[in-house]
Amino acid sequence: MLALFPQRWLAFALVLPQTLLIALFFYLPVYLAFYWSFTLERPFGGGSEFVGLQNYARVLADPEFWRSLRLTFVFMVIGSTLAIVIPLILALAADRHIRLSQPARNILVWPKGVAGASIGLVFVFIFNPFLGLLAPLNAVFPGIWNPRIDGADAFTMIVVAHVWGGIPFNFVVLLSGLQAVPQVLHRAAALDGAGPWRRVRDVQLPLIAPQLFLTFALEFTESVTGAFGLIDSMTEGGPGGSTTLLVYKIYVDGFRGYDLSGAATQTALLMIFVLILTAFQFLVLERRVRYER
Amino acid sequence: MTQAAEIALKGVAKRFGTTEVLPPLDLTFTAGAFTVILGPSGCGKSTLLNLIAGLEAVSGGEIEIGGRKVQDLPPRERGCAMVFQSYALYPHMTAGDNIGYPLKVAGVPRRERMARIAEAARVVGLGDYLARRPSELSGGQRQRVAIARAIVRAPQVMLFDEPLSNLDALLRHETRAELADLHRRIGATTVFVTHDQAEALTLADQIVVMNAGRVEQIGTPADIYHRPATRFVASFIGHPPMSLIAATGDGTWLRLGDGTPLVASTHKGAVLAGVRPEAVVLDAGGASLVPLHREDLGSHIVQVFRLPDGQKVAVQSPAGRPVPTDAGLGIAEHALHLFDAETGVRLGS
Repeated sequence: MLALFPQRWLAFALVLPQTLLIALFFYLPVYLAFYWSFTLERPFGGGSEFVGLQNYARVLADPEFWRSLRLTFVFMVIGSTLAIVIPLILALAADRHIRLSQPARNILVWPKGVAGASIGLVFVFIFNPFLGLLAPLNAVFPGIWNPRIDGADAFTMIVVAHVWGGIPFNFVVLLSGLQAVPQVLHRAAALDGAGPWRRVRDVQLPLIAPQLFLTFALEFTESVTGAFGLIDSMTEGGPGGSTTLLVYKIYVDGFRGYDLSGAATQTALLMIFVLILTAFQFLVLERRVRYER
Repeated sequence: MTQAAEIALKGVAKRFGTTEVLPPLDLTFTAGAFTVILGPSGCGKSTLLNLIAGLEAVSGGEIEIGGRKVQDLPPRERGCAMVFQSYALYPHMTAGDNIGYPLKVAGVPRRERMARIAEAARVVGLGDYLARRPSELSGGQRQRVAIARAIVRAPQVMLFDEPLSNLDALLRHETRAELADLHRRIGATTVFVTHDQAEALTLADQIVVMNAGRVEQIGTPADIYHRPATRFVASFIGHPPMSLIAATGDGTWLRLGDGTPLVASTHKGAVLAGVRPEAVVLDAGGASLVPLHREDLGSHIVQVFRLPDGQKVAVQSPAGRPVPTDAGLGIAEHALHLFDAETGVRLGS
């Protein structure tokens, strides 16, 4: 450090732009959210009033908040698991050099370049009950698929869109992990009597534990916040609030209902929720991950 | 003691795309014997080993292990164990788990597994390291773990892919002796691939010398050394290797390019005359030698000379007795190896 940066000010100067950006767009909003959660904000400006924990008492007593949090949790668990298991299967296949894995490797990365709202728009068409992929199913069993009416259908649709959007990044990370597993270990395991599936379990998965941990840690936090674009473009939280995840509820409460204090309080609670999950991952799961090879 | 199985290759060939790495090959590895496949890098020796193990599919021909056709079976059904150059230990398992992995896959109960792991570790002289991970072991210890993992299943066939080349010189020498001892005790048919002739000559019951995908010679270490079948074997075996001198026979003498008589011989026509550096005798009347350079190796001295027509010849002499600079080259007739100048095949007996 000292040898690389003889002038101390240079090191600070290089770090400054990034620090400013983080302070302005992360630490300041976080601070304000917590600050507002203890005050009563007027929707059209003009001062605020300190109310202590009243906002929290109000939010925590609201069944809508708990429903939203539960949906967020379910979405996080199902969405993240699928968004890792599916790319994992694809990565295992691509790593095996099965036919067409080379072009597939390329094509599978494309969805990374599509914004959440665009994904949502496309999936709205794909899942349209009358025109979409499942329309023939409706022709046989009328009304079996209709995300505009059925909450479970709508939730499924959001999960599918989310998983689809999560495939590229997780696929790339997991594939790179698999390709770093020395080929000779496959050979050794094959001679030791392990078939392809056994090798996945005993050799490949343990050796990509760091990549699996990384994707899980990122996917969990991402699924909590990243669903906003999908929900906004596909269901707007409906039908009947069945896809109103917390991140969308905050938006609706704050910018449509003008309950700025309530939104700030829920934001604070959401951040604490993510913080607890991330702490759990690093304190409990990461200890089982070995980075040495 | 395990049951050893004979390995028979019948017309086994390997192509990668249109590149032929191994032309069709017939080869038998005697049951219980220690066979070394020797050759330079890229000669196809490791490919041959992988074909036997089932790590690569044959492009043609049949492989029999113990009379059973195995060329279409997956590796686990062939009964081979293998030690890799890089050891290929599972980094996330302890040494003990590494050794026991083949048993675990085979469904051997835990109690029996522990006993056999301990026994295999004892055989290879691996002390109290079973609880350590490979990253905490030295190269020599990793090697032992790899060998223990290979013998723990009592395989019929043991395959070694240059297992000593990652060890330092001293350890390599020790391990060589231990491997020979291990083979005597285990008795499995062993195929050992190396590019190191010292390993081949000391370990093998039978050596297969390969070059560019072809088998140049099969024989005992003594055969290979004393009666090389081709010019390649002659130049590959021996340290320093045999000097090969292009000459022409007129029925009484082999003569160098400038007409200097080299050695008496009834051979007629162009020929390669080979002589081992330690078999050169000095003869004041022989072809004159111009000294080029010399290496004093302590136990002996190796000197390289230029012959009158510009070709080179190496001479080995005992320590402290360098070849005098005015000596001429003499070759005893019994020490002369003749090879066809065109094909490189050995001539005569």
